[in-house]
Amino acid sequence: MYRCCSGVDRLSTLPDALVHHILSFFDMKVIVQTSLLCKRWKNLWNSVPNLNFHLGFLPRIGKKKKLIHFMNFVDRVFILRDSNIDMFNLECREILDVNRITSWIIGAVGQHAQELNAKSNTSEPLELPYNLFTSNIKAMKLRSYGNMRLPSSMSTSERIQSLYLYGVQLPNGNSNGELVLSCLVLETLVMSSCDLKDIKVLTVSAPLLENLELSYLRTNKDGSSKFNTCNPNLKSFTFVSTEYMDCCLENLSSLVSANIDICVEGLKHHMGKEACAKFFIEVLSGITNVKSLTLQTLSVEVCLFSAF
Amino acid sequence: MKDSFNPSIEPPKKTVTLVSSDGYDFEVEEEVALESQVIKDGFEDKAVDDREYLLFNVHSDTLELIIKYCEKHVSSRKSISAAAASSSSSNGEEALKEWDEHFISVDTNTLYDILMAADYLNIKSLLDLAIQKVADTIHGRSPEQIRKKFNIENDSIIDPWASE
Repeated sequence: MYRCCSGVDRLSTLPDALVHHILSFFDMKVIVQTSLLCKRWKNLWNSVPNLNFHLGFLPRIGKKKKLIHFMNFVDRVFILRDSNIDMFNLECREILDVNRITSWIIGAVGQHAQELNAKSNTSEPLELPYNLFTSNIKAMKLRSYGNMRLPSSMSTSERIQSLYLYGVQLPNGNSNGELVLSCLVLETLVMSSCDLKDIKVLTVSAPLLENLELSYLRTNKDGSSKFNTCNPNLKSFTFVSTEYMDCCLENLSSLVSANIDICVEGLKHHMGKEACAKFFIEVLSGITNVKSLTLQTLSVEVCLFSAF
Repeated sequence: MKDSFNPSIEPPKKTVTLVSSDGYDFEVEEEVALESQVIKDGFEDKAVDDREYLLFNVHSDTLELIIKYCEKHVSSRKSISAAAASSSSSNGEEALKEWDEHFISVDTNTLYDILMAADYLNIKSLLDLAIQKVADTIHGRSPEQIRKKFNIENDSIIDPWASE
């Protein structure tokens, strides 16, 4: 084996795959800077499989210029790249141009990305491209402040395995307001603060689903949102709600842990304590045979209180 | 033959022999060697009495470290799952992380040797550990500082940092 004494550059002698692996931990800005190290590193950056772009809060002075600079930088990285992408990570605290974000996502999908993480803020609605759920993407984490809307292809996704959605709008349902998510290989689904505004019935039909978390979903205004699921493989279920939802949990026979929190404080403005308790019991009645069950104390109190 | 009546006695553990690039033999337990995906992949095809692996790319100094790592991970995994089965609380995973951190705190040359060997033998957790260590070393340094730290000679024609 090639062994050498100190003072020799061994970092540059590593195979490309290992250098790429090392670089995958860094922001693209740092990765592009490594092209200045020496000739060996000059073109390594443009075949890095993981693209991480991060932009924190910018100071007010010179903000506009820096934002444009950041967006141009991402554009150029996409133009100059010469190989496929494994993961595209975008985390931006400032308001970005909707069209640019869309074009980056289309770019990442076109370069066969398998994982997409986007945390962004836009002033206009961001309609995610239709092919997001027909592409190679297996894992997705999306976080927005309510302006991001998922495409209707979500409901028939065949490849997505893990899906984390925070503050994202679900696609419109059919003409009856029903949305059925039949994702064949989905294993983890987390929906938090997502908007169900136009959806009356949300059905999750994923035969391989093991982890499901629904928290702080914003239900239909007239309180008629209904949630259906039938998951014989579900192992962990978390349900946190401040709004009433008609929950129909069926066949959760493999359930190991459940965490239920009906936030009474949030609920009581709309409904009385008895109704809260009814809601709570309704959710609980779908959970049988579980090994570990966590209940929030306030929910239990309301339940007991109304029983007497 | 007293021992044969003792139910607690274990059968002799199966071993395999790993031969380093400089010709040293290391006899290790089968399950320790199987931490390497490369050895695991070819394992079934080999005859039981011919389980010897020539590791042309791994020096004995490095191989000793790699075996130490694998032995630790095999034994920790056992104690963690035993603790989980008896549902007694254990900080086994925390302790292992600490051990890993200590294990990988080596000089740069040894780190590269471990990195290359983990890649060659395909031991994913060790490869990740070594890669993370190199990444941590690069983190927060300017190109000029990286060059110094890793002895990278600047052979580019134009060096925008040269004037600094």
